[in-house]
Amino acid sequence: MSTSGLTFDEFASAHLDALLRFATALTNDRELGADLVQDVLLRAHVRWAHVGSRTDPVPYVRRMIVNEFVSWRRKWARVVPGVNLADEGPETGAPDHADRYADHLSLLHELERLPRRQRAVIVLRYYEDLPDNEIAQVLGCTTSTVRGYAMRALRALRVELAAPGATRIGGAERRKP
Amino acid sequence: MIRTEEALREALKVRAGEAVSPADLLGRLDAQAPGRGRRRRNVLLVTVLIVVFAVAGVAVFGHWLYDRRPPAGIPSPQPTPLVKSTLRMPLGPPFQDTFTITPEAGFVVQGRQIRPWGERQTLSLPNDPRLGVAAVTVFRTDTPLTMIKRGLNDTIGEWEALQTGDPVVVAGHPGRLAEVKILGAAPDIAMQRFMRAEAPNGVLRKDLGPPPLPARAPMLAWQWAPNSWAVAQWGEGGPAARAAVQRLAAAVRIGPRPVLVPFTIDSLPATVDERVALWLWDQPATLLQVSFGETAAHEPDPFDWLAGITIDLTHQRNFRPKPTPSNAVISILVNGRSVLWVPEQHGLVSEIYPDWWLEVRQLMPRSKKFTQADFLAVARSMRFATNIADRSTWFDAAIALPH
Repeated sequence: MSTSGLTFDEFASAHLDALLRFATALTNDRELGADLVQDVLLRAHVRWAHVGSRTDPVPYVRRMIVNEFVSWRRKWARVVPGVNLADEGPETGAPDHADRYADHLSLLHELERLPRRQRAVIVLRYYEDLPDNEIAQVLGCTTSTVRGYAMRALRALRVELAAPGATRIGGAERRKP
Repeated sequence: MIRTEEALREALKVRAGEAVSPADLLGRLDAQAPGRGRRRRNVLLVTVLIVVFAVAGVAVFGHWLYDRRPPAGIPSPQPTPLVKSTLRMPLGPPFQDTFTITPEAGFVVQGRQIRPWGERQTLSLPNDPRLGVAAVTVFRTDTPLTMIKRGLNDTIGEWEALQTGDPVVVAGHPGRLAEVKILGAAPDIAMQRFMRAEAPNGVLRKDLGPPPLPARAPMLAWQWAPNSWAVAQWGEGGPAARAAVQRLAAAVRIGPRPVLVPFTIDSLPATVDERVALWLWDQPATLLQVSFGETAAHEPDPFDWLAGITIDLTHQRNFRPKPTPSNAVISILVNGRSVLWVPEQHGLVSEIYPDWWLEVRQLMPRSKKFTQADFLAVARSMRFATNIADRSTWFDAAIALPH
């Protein structure tokens, strides 16, 4: 039994769903996400005496996932398609549900084209709601580097930041009531 | 369009919601995690029991179906009992094309895989890119269709639906055409990914993975010879796809043709066998991949090539691994080029021609069944075409590759 009080099986049962969702958001692909989690958990299982000795193994495993994702080089780059979004048609009329759905897809495609570290920052910030200092710990860089990644990624994704005066809750910008 | 952070958050949430179920992954982990011998044995026992019951069930069901068989002339593509036939597929050594598509039909072959069970070609129709990607699979004569049910080729989809499909005739051979749901969770993940990668603008990746899925897509199976089936399928539905899949089936010409490869391999470790998989892709990137399975696995296994040795020759401009303390340059030349040992991929990398990269490795390196010396022995036994761009200098795969 480790310090966290969790065996590997207990950890996997409790957190696998969340890790899979996180990895799917990170890779933008359900199968790649599953492969990523599978790779990481197999390594975590072998080293569970070390991994499970932490008070909360989740951040450590999440960091393993991000590191594995960032270090995936060409075996995955080869099979994840690039998307030429410039070919998509012009905007017409007011956006309806279909437009929003199409924009979701388009946004995810564009996310896929971001450099790995930028993509990781976006997912950690907007999916996991981590603050920038924790993202910096996950990625092993400084907070200002994280902000730089985020700024470049948001610019590439054409995402408008919340208005000045917004308050940071968790890792995300939320408007004050 | 300017987006909000909320839209980004929502999009990520939607994508995350498409994650595979934990139960699926736990199954994989159970099968792979070290130190779980007892559980593995239990799973194996359960699997054996399931297979035994399934085989018995299929036999009973097959007998029942035989009694209810449709009128002569319209065979139903139900699982064919394994019958030893004098007609062998793919009509020659393993490294021959099983079939071709007549060029006048307008289909463009994007890639093909030659596997022990037969051959599949993936095609597009440039005149109508909205249809996405089609695939034609021709199975070896002695491949029982029950294998498809067992997961050998799950991208086929709802095989049973074909049994009630519309009777059609393909080049004088009887077949069935039906709208089926394409299964996204193919065990042959690599193939699925390549199919995604080659789709125009990556659209197909949306349509092959569940959910969201198109309602149904057309599939046509026909019996081109006794006990021999071929399947044409389209990635998207609609009347245009239904017509296109019939045109595609009509354009299939089954017959042997040499496959050319730009290298020869003379030596393999003793622990790999001749069960091979050969992928040849022209789009989106040129890739030639030969994988040799393990001798240990005797049952058809869609993943056998993952655990064996894989040899890739890929055209990539932006790939240049740098020597580091862990990526060591080995003082051995292959085709006059130095070889890099990359521990993280448990394999060798070498630039054989400018921007053409050779990799000799084990795709699933966890078990590390092969050593650096094994990979080096394979690489050093290889000979390469004098001019990669000139296919007249390439080799006949039936002679160049061990099988």
